[in-house]
Amino acid sequence: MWKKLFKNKTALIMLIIIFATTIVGIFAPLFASHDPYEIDVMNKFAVISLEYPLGTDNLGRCILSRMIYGIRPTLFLSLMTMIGTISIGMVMGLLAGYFRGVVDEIIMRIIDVMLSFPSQIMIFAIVALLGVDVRNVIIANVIIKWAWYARMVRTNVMKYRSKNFILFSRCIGNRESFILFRHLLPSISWEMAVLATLDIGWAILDISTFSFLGLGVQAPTPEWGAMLNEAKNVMTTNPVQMIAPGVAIVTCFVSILIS
Amino acid sequence: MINLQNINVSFRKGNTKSIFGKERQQVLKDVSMNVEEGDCVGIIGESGSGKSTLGCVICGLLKPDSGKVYVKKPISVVFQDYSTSVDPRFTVNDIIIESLTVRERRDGIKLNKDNEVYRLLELVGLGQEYILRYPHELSGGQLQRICIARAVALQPRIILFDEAISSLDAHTQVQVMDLLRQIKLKYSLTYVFITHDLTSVTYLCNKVLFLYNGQVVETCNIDGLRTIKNEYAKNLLNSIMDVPVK
Repeated sequence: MWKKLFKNKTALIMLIIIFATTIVGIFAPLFASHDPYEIDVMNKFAVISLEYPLGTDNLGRCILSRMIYGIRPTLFLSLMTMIGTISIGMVMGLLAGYFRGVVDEIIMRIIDVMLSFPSQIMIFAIVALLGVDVRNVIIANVIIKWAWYARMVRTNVMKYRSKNFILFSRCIGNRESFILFRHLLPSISWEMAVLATLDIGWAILDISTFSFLGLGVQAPTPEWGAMLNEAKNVMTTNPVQMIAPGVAIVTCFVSILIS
Repeated sequence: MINLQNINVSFRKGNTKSIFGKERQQVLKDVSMNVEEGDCVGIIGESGSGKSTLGCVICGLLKPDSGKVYVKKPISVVFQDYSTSVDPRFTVNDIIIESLTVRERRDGIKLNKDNEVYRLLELVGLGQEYILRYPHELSGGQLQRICIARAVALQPRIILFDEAISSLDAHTQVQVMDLLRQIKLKYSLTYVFITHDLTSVTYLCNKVLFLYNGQVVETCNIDGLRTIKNEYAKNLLNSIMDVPVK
């Protein structure tokens, strides 16, 4: 696996970017030169310098420091979204695919209903119902996206449930929990891991989009989407304030997709 | 040990035009069979005759549409495709321990699993060096022996072999058949041998059941093979045996 990875230079570079971003985010206080919340109106729109490598924003806050601290909510919230989505999708897909019959019919009809709605519109609707808060954006994302995973898991479970090792387990009267968690879950987990890594990129994009629209992370918390929102009014006068988080989101998204 | 009465099994046709269509294909029609303790019954038939479906009914993996099923448990099974018969993430040790754990729970006993695994591997002619190997590190014959060890580990009353030796080469087939004979004698097991290969049936079984188009067309003892009446069974035998059946 490592040999294959080292041969694929693009994947390696992208993985290094993701790894470095995560490390910088985790140890943000070590890398950030300023407090991301520290307002210095006298110093607003400061140009790029050694003290402020990306300049300052409209409130005089260090853009680079805010970018570094912004990694935390962006990655953490997208991870939370993915964990919630995969957990629910996995359980529902396993139940539908393994037990079939009435259980499958009920779960699949719910999934059909969930998938028939345009996802973004539904997320807006759920956020509007629950209130503007980043927690509600995550809940809305999970509610909308679990159905995709459940369908994928169900398809994979159906593929594996007719394999002879599962039939043998059922024939000798092994516990359903053993079959589900020792045979089926590990069998499908690799495929789910690939799907999940692809979707983390989309989750980052979603969280940033909702923060940009003012529905997710709220000011003054540093988050890339929220930073874009704050920067849109000064886009022409101080483009760095918008370009920096924009480039960061795109880089992160592309790195995850390509790696 | 096994008593099946008027078993009917049908599946919904895949090419049904309407999504609410109820058109079904009859796979087993009024199948009845009786297997006594210590018997080795061969179920013979061409592809699509319903042999494996009957095997699934015996194993309890498939509920028939109608009819009575009585099978004395525990029952174990060995499949044809050894490559999908074992979890590719399990080592030989894990594979056999799965059956041992079920046996422990069933009998309410505590087994020395390591010793049991060694003993079972020895029984099927494999050494202790195989214990930590994964399925992809074993040959077809070795893997089928592991499947047999796993089936025996359950200490079943009945073992069902669903084309268990068909995919092995001729030399390994003979070895495995000898092994099955020894195991049967040692543990006084009852075998149900599903196959399309009459040679293995004549070698192992004392009763033969001919299945054609989902129906049992002939049942006889192995000694009475040459006096069978049914045309299909006769033709099948003639196509395999050197001496024609009158």
